[in-house]
Amino acid sequence: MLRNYLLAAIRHLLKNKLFTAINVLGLAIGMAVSLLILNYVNFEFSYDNMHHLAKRIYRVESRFFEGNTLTDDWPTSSFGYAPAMMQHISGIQDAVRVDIHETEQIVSYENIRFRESDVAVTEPSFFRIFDFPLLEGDPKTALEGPNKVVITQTAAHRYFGETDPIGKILKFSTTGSVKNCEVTGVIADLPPNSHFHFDFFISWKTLPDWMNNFWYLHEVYTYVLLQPNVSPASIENAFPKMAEQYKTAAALKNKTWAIHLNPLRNIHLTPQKQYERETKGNRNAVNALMLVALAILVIAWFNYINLTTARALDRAREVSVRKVSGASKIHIIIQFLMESLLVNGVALVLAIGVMLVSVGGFNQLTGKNIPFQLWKDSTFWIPIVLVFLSGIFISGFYPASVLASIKPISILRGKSKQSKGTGSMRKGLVVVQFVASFVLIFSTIVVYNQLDYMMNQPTGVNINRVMAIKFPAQTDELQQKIISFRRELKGFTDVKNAAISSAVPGMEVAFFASNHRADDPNKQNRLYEMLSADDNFASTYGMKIIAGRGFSEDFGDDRNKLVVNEEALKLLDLPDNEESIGRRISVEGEEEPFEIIGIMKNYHQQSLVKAYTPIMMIKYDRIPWISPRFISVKMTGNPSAKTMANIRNLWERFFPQSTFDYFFVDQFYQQQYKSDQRFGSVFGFFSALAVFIACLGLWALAMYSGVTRRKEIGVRKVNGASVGSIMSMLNADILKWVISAFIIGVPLSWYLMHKWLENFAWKTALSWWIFASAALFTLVIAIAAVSWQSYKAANRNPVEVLKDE
Amino acid sequence: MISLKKIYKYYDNKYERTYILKNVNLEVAEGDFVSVMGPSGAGKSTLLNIIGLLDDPNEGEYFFLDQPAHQLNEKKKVDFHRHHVGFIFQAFHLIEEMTVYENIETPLFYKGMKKKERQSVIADLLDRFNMVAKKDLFPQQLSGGQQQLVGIARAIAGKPKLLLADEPTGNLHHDQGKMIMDLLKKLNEEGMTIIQVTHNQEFANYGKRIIRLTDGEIEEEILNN
Ligand SMILES: Nc1ncnc2c1ncn2[C@@H]1O[C@H](COP(=O)(O)OP(=O)(O)OP(=O)(O)O)[C@@H](O)[C@H]1O
Ligand SMILES: [Mg+2]
Repeated sequence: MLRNYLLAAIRHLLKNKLFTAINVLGLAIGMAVSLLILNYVNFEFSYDNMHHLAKRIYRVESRFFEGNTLTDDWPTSSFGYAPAMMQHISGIQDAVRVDIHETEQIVSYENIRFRESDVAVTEPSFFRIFDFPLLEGDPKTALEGPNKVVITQTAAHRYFGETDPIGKILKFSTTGSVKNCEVTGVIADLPPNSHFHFDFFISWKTLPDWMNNFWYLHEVYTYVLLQPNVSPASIENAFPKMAEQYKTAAALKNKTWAIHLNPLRNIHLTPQKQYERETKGNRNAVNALMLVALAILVIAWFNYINLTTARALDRAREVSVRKVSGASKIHIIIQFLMESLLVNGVALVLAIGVMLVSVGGFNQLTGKNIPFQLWKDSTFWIPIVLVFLSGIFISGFYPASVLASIKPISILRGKSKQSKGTGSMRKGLVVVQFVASFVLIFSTIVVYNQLDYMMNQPTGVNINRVMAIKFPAQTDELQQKIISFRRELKGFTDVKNAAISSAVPGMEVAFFASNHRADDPNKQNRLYEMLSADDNFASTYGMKIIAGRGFSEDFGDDRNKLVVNEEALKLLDLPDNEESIGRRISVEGEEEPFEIIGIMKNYHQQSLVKAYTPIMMIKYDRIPWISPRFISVKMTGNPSAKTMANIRNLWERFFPQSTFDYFFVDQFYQQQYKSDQRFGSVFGFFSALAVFIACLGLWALAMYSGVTRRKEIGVRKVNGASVGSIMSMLNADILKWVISAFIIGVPLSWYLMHKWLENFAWKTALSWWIFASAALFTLVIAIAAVSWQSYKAANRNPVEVLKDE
Repeated sequence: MISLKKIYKYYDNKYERTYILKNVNLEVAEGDFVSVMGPSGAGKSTLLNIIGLLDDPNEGEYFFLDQPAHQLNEKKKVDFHRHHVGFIFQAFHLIEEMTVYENIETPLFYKGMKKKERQSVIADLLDRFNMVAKKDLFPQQLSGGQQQLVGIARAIAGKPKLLLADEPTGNLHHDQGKMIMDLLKKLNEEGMTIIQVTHNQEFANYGKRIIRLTDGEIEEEILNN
């Protein structure tokens, strides 16, 4: 019996090659795309699942409240949280801190020297909590005591080549310190789906003692391992009260110090916060891609349904004959499900092929190097099987039951008309396909429009032709050398300006200080981002001073002076004009209040995804923990190779012990949009595919209706109808479909895109022209898909057609 | 075997009711061979379809082997088609994608016959109809007469008690038609009950009884010795 069904199915499919090809092609593309997306999504959800204790590990994230209002939300905690929590809150089995306050260091071994950006300091418990097996060294002792370091294989190879790294001494230098550490362990490179990727783990005891219990520097990630069956909420609830006894300083005293325990495996897909080391995944993007994958699959399935039911008439005779030969409904349904299985099966095989071929391109598109997890992971196989089975069922069942309920009597007498039911079902499905196409087209336009908006909006700073050189490591008389270096740089003919600062546009300013107005009797502390800079900084980046003045040597050393932006004034509740000049601000950790000398117009320190933040600028050498990290060099033109060489030579002369590392600020700034751009291209590409598959189905349907209406068309033409009038008759439906799709699609896409735009602090409006152009575009491609067939049908010689009948 | 009592079939339009069959009473005994004649639109096919359980009467009772066939549920009807009746059509209605062999095999599947058994049944039929050489051909590769032979072979493969033939010769040349009729006659002689619809008086005479249907009513019945 199965053989009989299969044979019938195969012969039928081969006989109708075009329909089969369209079905298989559509399904194969749909499956390949969903498999790729599934693999990607699966990867995104697989973050940090390599630790066997993962379910009980949480990252301690700090949250500050004023009353019930959440004012600050960081992924980090301070150095002191973990020991205090271990001591006072029950239910915590283990904890580990990963210090990130100096992740960028110059590391050297003999003559080999690199600027490393993934240097962490951590405790021995790191290897108890996380499953990063040591390839060499003892996990229990590797991080015991000061001046030890565990490094990754890649790092080991970089410094020691093939020789044994154990026992070798690496030198770590920052602008503030130099440490020598002995390599005591080597671990495999951290897997790509870990939310952090450090290359160096320096032992905790290497840090100065005062840091160990310090509560006022939120620059460590703290991970806790809860005892079994302890709820994270109980820990969270116990924290604020416990924290009170540690709030000894004035900073943030008015706030409630709370924590949030973020489950380890959720970290990757919870929103990116400040102080987040790595670009996290975006749950919205993941959801959007899953939706596109679903849309593509549904469109392909609907094609199958439509093309199969449209041809039901062709199959009706067979079904009728089978029925009078004793077939039950179930037999018929099984037969057509088999056919659907066959089509879906062929499509799946093709899809796997397509996927294998295109996984590289896909990774390029997503910018991730996602290992192909196909054969390893049941969490990947289960969805494939589900997709496959639901595909067979969804695409096969309806046509099968339509065919199974054919009444043989109507067919065998040869008087059958297409039953009305499947016709309206088909229209319904086509409308759904159009809704999906419209929403995807609309969304693609919005995504690109938003990208375009963000990338072309004036940022308020001029970052063109600015090169940012990273600060040298600690040496004698660093301060004087930097000043001389800057002076000599400014002497170069191509160099217009040179400035020292703790941050450059395109990055988080990140040094937070809890400040308040000196005349505020309640001492309402708020957090401000502290940017340390020299006199040249504002002019190098073309920042606008709207009142008062910027830093300048003409006025002395500007020691306790502040230049603040408009946003900071808003937070201080001060007007953004001359009146605020001279106001005194008490800055965290400083005895003497600072004085506002200038107001800086708001500018986009970071991408337009983020809102303006309150920034206070101090002199670069004023507060040691807000140390300068960059020397920005503004060029007059595109820097010539000669200038670059000159700068490098100058650097070598001043800082022979440091690596010369630089980047161009404009490129660096655009880098912020990379993930959005990638999302745009992935989304756009897959949307195009979805629309293509929908058109394919439409095209085939049009061809079919051209064939079935051949006689009608012939008669009309004999009676003098023009090609144009016949075409518009055939195309009239399309207009109806597109309009229906538009009516359903507009609110849907408005809602979806409105939600998506909420991720951006600066966003475009969903203006009418986007709706109009999406609708127009949908209409145009639909008509294009159909007109080809309509044109052919309308141009057929009527005599030929009528003779046939 | 077949007993039709006061069968009415009608279609309701907006304002009027059109009768296709009016008060049809008919008894067909096992082993009978009935020819149904009448003008186009008289309701011949409708009658045959009701007997074949492809259509339901609006009024009246239909007993098949003393069972009330008008009350059968879907499952019983499938059983009826599977075991008791075979159909032959004017347009042959072979499955185009299947070979001669596979077409004949179809009803045997649904009877749940084992492969060995099927093979022997089909071999016998092919042999009998002189179609052994054609068993792997597709319907389009056969002449009309040959196609109808396959149609008959398929209809009788499951050894039904009743064979219903709606204008089996309608699409055939006279000679081919005659060959088919001879075959039907032979089947009848072997014990198969046959009801055929035909427009051809010569072929009607193959039947033991001829029923003339006009405007949905049995006008006359002629016994054919
Ligand atoms: N679904 C229907 N609705 C309305 N009238 C119908 C329907 N089906 C059949 N009829 C009508 O019933 C009448 C009898 O049809 P039937 O097919 O039984 O005629 P027939 O005697 O077989 O004719 P022919 O010799 O042409 O095959 C016809 O007039 C036909 O138009
Ligand atoms: Mg008829």
